[in-house]
Amino acid sequence: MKMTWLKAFLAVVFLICAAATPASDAVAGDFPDKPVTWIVPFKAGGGTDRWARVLSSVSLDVLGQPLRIRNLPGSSAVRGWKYMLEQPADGYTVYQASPTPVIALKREKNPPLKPEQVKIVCFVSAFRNIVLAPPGKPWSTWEGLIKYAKANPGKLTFGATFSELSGTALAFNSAGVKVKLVPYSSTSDAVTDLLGGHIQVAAATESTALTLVPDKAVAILNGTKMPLSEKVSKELGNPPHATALGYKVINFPRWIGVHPDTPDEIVAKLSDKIGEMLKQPSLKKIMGKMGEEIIFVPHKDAQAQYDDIVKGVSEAVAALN
Amino acid sequence: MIDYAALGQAIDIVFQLNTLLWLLVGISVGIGVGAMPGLQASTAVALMLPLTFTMPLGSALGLLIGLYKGAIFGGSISAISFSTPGTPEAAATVFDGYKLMRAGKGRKALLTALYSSITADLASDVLTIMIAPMLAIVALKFGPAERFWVMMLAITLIGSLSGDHLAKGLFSAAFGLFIGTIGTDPIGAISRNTFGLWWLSDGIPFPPMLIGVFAMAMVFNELLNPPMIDAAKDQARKLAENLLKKSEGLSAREFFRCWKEISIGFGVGSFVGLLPGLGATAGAFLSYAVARYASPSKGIGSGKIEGIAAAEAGNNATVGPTLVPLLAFGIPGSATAALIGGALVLQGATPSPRMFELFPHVIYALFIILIVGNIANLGLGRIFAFAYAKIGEVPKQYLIPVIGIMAIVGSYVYEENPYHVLLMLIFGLVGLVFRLCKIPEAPMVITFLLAPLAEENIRRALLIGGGDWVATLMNSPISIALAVLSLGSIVFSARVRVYQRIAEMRASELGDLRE
Repeated sequence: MKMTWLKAFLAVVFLICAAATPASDAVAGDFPDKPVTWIVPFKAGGGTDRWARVLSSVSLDVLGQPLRIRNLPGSSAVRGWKYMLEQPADGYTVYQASPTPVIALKREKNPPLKPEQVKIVCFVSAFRNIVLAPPGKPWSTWEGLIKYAKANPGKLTFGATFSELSGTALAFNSAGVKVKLVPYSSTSDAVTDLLGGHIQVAAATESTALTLVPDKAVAILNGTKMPLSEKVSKELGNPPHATALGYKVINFPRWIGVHPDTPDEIVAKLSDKIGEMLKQPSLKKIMGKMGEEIIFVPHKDAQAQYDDIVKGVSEAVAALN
Repeated sequence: MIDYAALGQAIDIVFQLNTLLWLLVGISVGIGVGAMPGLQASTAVALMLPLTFTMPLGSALGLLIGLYKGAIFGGSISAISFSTPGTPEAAATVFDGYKLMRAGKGRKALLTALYSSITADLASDVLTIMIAPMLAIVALKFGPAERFWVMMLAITLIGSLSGDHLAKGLFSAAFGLFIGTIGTDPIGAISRNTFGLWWLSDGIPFPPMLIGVFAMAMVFNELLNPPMIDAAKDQARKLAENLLKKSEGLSAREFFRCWKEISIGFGVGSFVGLLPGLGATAGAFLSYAVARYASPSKGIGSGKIEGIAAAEAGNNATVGPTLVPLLAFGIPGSATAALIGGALVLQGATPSPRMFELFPHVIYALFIILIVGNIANLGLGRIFAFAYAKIGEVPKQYLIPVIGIMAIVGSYVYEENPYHVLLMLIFGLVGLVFRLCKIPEAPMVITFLLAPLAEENIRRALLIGGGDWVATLMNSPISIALAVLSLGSIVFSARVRVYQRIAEMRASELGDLRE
């Protein structure tokens, strides 16, 4: 009798273990078996929104399920992040963002969440931070700017959005120069003031820089870790690369994340599938037309790079203050 | 200099069946989206953008510009019909539009909005085509200090919107100023005045606030005076008959009577559209304020077509000039310009300073579609105006619950945020208190809109100027001229008030003598 009970008990334990062990594999194997909610924490029409919509155009072919895009802007993209954390950790709620919410959270005294409260699925792209100056000025080259800024400490005015300002502040710190940092709410406002001569230097993404160089502006520095492609670098007049100059700067990736408790198998599968989506010819064609570069960093590398970025942002925010 | 070969190519692109059909689709969808409070022109354009990925240039531009133009007119439909601005740009239209609607002149109000919008839009498009590069250079002269003075001039002009009691107007403006500071400090990027609520860190969004102040406040006000049930039954019986009646239209004479207000709207709107960051809502309010200021005897604000003409011309005249920075420098001047820029990039015509040289046919096609879009909007707009004008005949006891539901749904769909519904209800109560105490809402709305922009610019200007106030604020002849104009408007406004008071006292003395 005792043996029967023991056998029955062991059988139940075995069944539970057997059911539990392949569970995550089974979950990952079936994943996704329903539409995936894709949180865009910015308004419709922006860069992140465009990325999400282009990804959704190929999701049915690759993922086998559609992406339900939800624009949840607000609180510097933190509202969408909070929403993602309130959903089950099953990989069916995905959050796509840029460094904006990380910077916002690092600037807050009492942030509603920590930048670490996410599991990074992958990076899909990144934008470089190009420092622009008007042509024909003493600061129209990086060496000229350093010389001018050292001779006139705190006089040179540099305008950019908070993301770009944070990144470039690190480059200025590394170069040992002091400039006046002027925050703008959008890159276009900063560039307009640069063209009007109201500020002396500005930072912009490479796509904006490409429209202005060489007629209206000179690209004097690539202020990110990532080098420019050979073609873009040539079109921008081969600006020096901050990393090559030995400066400590950060990257600005477009990252995709999920709830921090999501099983690793699901995250890895999502990462693989997104990588596959990025290889689709229709997606590549549209992104090429939009001037967006596809830079895929899978889950296994992206998490470490993200942690590094969070650290860099903390230092940049300290430099801004 | 007109490039005739490129112009011919552009005409070929535009006058194709596909382009014209997509333009009509865009306008029809746009009017529907704009009439729904909370959904904005830029949202409509953004959501339809993926459709354009595979379209040829003409069809893509036709759809996007149609959507934009339709949504702007759609915004005025709900502003006039339900006292609920469908888009923030239409908020200034509520003041006179809804009063006309309730007076049974809905069709007249809607047609005034349509005709004045199209006239100002067309004129601003032509102006942009003729002198876009020159306008772009003028726009660049306005740096942070100059932009600050433009806001100051706008704020001093709202003296004319402060009603009969200056103190109440000032209170309203001060309240708007305070709520405008809620959110993230534009320079330090640190939350302030948020009462510890993280969801207020982006500040109070404009659409839910407007819907609360204009629509929900009216619903609350009506709830304080519930109609008699018998009267409701009686009115219900008459509803079917009323809906069959033709609402009073707009005569050519009445329309031409508004020439002054449309001209003001065109001038103010074109100027505002050129400056980055201000936008169509500021254009509408500023034009409305200037029109009231210019013709105090016309009674703008008490249900006059001139008020609608000024507001609608002011917001639509920003459309063409908004595209100037995009076409001249590749820098979008507004959210919608950014989306149109995105569509141009997808079509291989990246906006840049060399755009006039590299893609002249694209620029001509864009402007021809803007003009053709106006004409198509006129045709479709008339049909919608006729249909919506019937709403004025609907008894209040049926209309008010509909407005209440639209206000709740509209404030939620804006960003799918339940907190926005809460904010809308709070602002509904604020608006109710304002109504009961006869405090004008316009100064609050305009300072709420302009004060954060003014703060951002003055603080940026001071950063650039090294903290020297005089050197910063008087940095250029433009700044000095705008400062003088601001001061002049305060002095002029005060003098007008004194003369009005003297005239009222004389009139009352004469009345006493006659008695």
